[in-house]
Amino acid sequence: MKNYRYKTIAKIIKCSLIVSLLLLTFSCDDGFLDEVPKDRLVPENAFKDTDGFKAAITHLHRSVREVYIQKDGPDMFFIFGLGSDFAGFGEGFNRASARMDYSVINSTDEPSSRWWSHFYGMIKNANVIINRAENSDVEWDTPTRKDEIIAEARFMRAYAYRSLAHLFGGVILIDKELAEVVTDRVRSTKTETYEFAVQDLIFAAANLPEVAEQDGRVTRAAANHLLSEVYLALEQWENAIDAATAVIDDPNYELMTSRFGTRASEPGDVYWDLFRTGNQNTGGGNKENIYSVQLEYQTPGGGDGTGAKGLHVERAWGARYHSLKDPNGESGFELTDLYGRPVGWCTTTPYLGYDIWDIDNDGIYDNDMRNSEYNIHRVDRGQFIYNRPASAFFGQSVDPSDVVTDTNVFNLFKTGVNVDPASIEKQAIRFWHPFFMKNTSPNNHPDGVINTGRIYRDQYVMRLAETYLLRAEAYLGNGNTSLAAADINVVRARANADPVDPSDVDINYILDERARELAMEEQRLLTLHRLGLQYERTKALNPWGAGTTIAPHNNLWPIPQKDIDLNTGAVIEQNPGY
Amino acid sequence: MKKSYLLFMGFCLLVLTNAMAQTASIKGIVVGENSIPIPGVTVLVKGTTNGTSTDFDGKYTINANKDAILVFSFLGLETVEVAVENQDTINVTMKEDAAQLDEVVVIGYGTSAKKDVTGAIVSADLSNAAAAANTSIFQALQGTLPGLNIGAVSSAGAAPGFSIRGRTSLSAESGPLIVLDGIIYRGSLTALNINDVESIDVLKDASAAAVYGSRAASGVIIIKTKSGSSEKPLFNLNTYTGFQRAANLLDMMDSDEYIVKLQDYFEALGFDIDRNDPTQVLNPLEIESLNEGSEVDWNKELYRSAPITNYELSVSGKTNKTNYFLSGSFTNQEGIIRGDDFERTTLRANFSNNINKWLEIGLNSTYSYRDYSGQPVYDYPGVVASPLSQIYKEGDSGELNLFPYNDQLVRNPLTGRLSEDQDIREDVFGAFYADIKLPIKGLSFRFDYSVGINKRRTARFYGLDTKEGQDDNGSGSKTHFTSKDWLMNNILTYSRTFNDLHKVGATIVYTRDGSDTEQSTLNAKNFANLSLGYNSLELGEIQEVNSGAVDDSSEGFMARATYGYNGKYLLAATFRRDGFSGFAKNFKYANFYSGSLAWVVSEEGFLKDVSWLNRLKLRLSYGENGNQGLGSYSSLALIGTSQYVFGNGGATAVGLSTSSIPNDNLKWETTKSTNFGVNFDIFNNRVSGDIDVYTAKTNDLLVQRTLASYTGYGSVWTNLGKIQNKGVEVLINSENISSENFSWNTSLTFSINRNKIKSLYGEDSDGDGIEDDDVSRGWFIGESLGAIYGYQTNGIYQEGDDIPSGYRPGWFRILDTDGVDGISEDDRSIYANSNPNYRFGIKNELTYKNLSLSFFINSIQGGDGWYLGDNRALNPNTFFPGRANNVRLNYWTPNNPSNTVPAINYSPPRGHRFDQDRSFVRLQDVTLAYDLSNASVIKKINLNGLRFYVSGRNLATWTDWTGYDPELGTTLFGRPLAQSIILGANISF
Repeated sequence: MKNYRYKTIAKIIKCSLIVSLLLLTFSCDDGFLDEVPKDRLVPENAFKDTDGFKAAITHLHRSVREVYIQKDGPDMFFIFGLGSDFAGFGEGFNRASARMDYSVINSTDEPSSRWWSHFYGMIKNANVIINRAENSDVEWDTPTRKDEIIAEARFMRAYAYRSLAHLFGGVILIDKELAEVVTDRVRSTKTETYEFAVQDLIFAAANLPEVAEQDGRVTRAAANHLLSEVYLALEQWENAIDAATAVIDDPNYELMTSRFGTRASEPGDVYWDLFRTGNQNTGGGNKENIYSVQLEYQTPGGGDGTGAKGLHVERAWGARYHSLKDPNGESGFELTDLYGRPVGWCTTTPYLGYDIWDIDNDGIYDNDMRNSEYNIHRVDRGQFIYNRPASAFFGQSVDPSDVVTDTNVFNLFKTGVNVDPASIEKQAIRFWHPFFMKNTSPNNHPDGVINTGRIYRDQYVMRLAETYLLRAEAYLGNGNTSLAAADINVVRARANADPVDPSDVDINYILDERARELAMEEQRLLTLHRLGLQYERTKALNPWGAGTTIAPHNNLWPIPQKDIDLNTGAVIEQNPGY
Repeated sequence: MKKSYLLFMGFCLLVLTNAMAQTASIKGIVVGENSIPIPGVTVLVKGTTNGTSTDFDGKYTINANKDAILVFSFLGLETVEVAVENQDTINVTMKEDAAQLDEVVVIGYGTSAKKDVTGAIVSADLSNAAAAANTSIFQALQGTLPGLNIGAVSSAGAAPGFSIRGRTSLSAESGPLIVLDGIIYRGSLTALNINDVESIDVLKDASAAAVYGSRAASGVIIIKTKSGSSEKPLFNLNTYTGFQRAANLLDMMDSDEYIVKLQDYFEALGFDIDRNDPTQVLNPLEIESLNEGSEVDWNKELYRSAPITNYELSVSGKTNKTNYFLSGSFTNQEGIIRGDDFERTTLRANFSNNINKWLEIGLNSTYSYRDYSGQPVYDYPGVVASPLSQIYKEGDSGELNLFPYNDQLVRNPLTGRLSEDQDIREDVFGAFYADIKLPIKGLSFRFDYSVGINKRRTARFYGLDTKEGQDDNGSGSKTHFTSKDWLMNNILTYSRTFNDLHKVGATIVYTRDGSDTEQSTLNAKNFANLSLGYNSLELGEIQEVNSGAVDDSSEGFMARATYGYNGKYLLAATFRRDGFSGFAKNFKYANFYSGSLAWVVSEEGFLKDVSWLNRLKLRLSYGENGNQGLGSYSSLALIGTSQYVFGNGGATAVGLSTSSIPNDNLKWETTKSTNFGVNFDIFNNRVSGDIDVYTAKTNDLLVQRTLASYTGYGSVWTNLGKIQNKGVEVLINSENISSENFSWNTSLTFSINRNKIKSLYGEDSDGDGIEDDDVSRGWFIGESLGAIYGYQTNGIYQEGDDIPSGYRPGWFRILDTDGVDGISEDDRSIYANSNPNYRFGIKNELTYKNLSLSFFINSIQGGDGWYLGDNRALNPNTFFPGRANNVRLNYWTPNNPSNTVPAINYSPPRGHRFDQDRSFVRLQDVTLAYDLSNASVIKKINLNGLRFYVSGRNLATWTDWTGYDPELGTTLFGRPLAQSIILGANISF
């Protein structure tokens, strides 16, 4: 019996050994649970040499382009001045988002959180570059590359912070790459936010190249231009003048004064040339360009991966001529390569469309190239011509006094959303308001595609004409109106406009001049918010919903409620009034 | 020489048998209760090793002493003992083992006699599963097992969603684990043919599921495929054909009502309307239709009565060494929505062989080909598009109008079919095993190795007749996806009974598995020539590529010990250690424990004499399970890519940006649960039941935590919070009537589950000592995951009411709950629940002679604020903002002061839900079958069995829900449920 038991035990041990061996053979390769992604990069292998950092910089430029290219929606308009002194919204969308009614804007406002997130996304990406470039293992291709990369990233970070500060006031300063969840941040003051941007821009101006390696990259002039603007916001007039002067005196830049570029032989003028496809980049002979975002028709990366294709200025700002009827009530127009397919969402205010072009208010347009027959097509100049062969009025000019809009208000209505009947009449304006030709590709829409309302022109972010106007603002701040007038007159002279008298220069004049020179290029809203004049100007100059509902607290946007809620470890103060 | 040898042997035998006793040759036939002969019954002379088994015709011959006792045994039947007593013919009728006490259930890495099970395990009744229009196995189980919640499906060949015992997770995928023939199965359920399935067991409680540790938190479903059961090869042919149609469609307005609706709408907005001039509110194409007197019934255009056909053929059998099951099936299902087609072919080969006394090897393999090609029509415009649409362009070209009534936001639903679409999925799954009996009694070793390969090829092309194609001058794409997963088990099992009293079992498992997936997508647009479609994407002038590859791997070690004393006291304990690559570097491994005990009270002396009680078993268990359902790379900082172009005519430049914050501490989500259960058989085994009560707490929930936007990131995976689930499940089977010609069986299931969030982020920002809720996600401490938070409505403001500013007559009255005058954010409250209150199912089976009728009623019930759905079909102003939907609603007007449906231009200043009770009672399955297997004519033509059946699915649903279907919760934009009737035959020979 005992022997039997012993044998059994021996057998068990033997079997266990065999099985254990079997198990062991499968379990001895250590570390097979470690994860190394096969199909995507991680920071450790992405940021190891110049190429990786350049790609990260590329993404930041794309982020700047996203400010200008959006899918259909209220977000696509704000930056150019919807709901300000520039434009009212012709049709629906959400009344708050479209800035048709400022009184309903609260902390859940869509554009506010959209752009808050967008700029903080840029800050995050810039911080990753700035931090990781300091890693001593990085292989740089040239001795100055590291500083150039950091400079370009800091330029982008400053661009984002300055945009946030204009719109929201002082914001939360994130100055390095985050490696963990944070929930306890508080707002810095507006001054601190601008000062933070100043430090970035000083570094950028010192380390960016004088001439960009590629069209579409930034230079020290771009940093100085932006620096000048931030100094203006800080009311540091001398510094603003110095920064602007550094650009103006840079031999690489000058205003374009004679015909140039791809369509110089066609009837037009130099201001018209500035906005023709292919003419924005320095490489295209444009010495006035400081920084522009890049578009390319039908090229991967040339539009936008989020569903938007091309620049939407035509769609947003063009007059909706194709809905005009002839005096018989028949359709008067068909789509034409001249104008493309605007929707006419942004209806120019009388201020932008008419008043600024007649400074002396004598009923006759001033002499100003920017309002030439090439640059603004006007119904009151007889420039809208019925083009539908079947129309009895084919070939004749539209007479604004007997313009017939769509008699079926409901058809019109159905393309819009929840518009009060009272504003329907105003929609007629958007069929024939002044058509700023900088917003379209007249007679050369690519591949003849004229039904999208989008164009494929590079878009100025900064142009030397604006640098002059920034310096003029600084001189004005310093009380030197004659130097301010001199700078303004450089810009006016190129447009063959009469010079301004120093005694007429005030901030409103400069804003008018910016409107004439930079409409739909400058981020009008940012300018007005920077100056704290969004409320005042909109109330005075926007006759529609925006003007009647705006209140002083709208000079700043609300801090998104989501961030206030998620920041559980500290209180993010909301802007007053929200 | 040979002859003399044989003679000698014969002599010896004679001597031997004579020496023992007088023997005789006894023969007979063994039949079942239905008088059908049973092949393969073991016939043994009691107390000896002398035995034989019955042949194809149930016949046997055996030599035995005249005073011997013969023992007839067969799995699943009651063992019969007959004394020989000088008879030479003994015919036996074997009865089914009524209590099925010896039924074997699969418990994960092994099997167990059902009577020895200590956890909550329930087996599915698959008797009618193949006789219904089910394309997925789980569709057949819908509602039949308490605690196993399976959703309905609305498209052809779709797999339903399912869960066990409520939701245990906030963000991580929470479906049960599927184990197919002992292997964790990652493939699609629709790739399996229901007729190949032998049994489905569900491990519901944590102690039972704990053997699968890290993946078992949502329960485990164990599927076993068929094998051969008789020496005679058994062919089985099952075929059915039938029709399906939408069980319910929305009640849409006709053109007259539509015009009135538009007029009402614009009038409500303040326009002056001439009621006699419909053209004022119509678009040109609508006016054309009006003049022609034509009208579109979109329901007819989009939905159809669609055929379904199915053929299955299998052959199975066994010899003393080999066991095989081979099958093939073909299913062709057209969807009830036009263009939604499904075709499937499956093949299966199961094979096993006893190489020698100690080694058995086997291979279970399956291949399936599923074709989902073809795009259905767009369903959403169907409920909003004008009935005065013009579907086709003028003339006889048959070309579709892209926008059938000029509205640029409403596409022609039929244009959905214009794209060329391909979607083909192929699955191959093979599982090899070797079972080795080790030279110690009761000890065996099993090795499994399986490989599953899934391929999916999709392609689509939009030509110039589609909106997409026009925008891009043709656009096409093609995707190839391949995944390969593999698994290996090493299982050492010991099982022995000592002294007929102590039943001891032990199992040790080492397992590893992993998967590799890769995919590439080609996109092209702006085609130089459109004629070749997606087969020649290089004709597109803009080409983009996309590729991906993901790996994961897991490792597990499991030990289980069981002990039973005299079938009375049963104990089980398990331990599992699991590792998964998807977790953060600091937490790759975790341990899971479980313990359970059962007491078969009816075996105790004091109950032996209680005649009505046949069996009573009490079970108590505790177990821990994990959830790893978050995939690969979730704990890492990853980089995303983008594209940009520098300079005019420049090349594409790649951009990089970080897209996530790393979390080095990301780990398992762990559910700890306790289960108390009772199994009983009473009244001579005519009524049996399982009752289970459970509570489950999930800790370290995997949550995609939202981050403040100022971080630049969207969210990060973290372990936070606790959820609790509690519930009761009841399953009762009753044999109501059982007579020679007529029987009536009823089974009833009932389940109830409650869940509660116990903790979230552990933060208390306002310092009130109470943990903060996450209002943005609707998660509240102490409330259910289904809690509905928001503004509660109470009727509609009528003219003359005291109406607060911002509201108008015809708009909903928001309940002012905070006691402060006026409606503000503070008036939001938790007022109801979207989860069901309880579920039940009743199945009745009536058999009269050869005719049987079974019908199954399934129900999910709300009531008292439970199971509320947000039914947008109830808002007349639902569509794109500013367009009223076309559902026939009796909306409020000054002349029609409805208190339930608001005004047609209703746009509430504060958004709220349109709550409606989703409760329903559904006649889900009805099967009428006529079984000719016993008819003499069948025997004459050598058939084994013949059965005809008619079966209907979703024949009637009783509900107050006004959308397509309450269970799907589909309202305005969604799809209906299919109703089907099929006619089938099942022949075996």
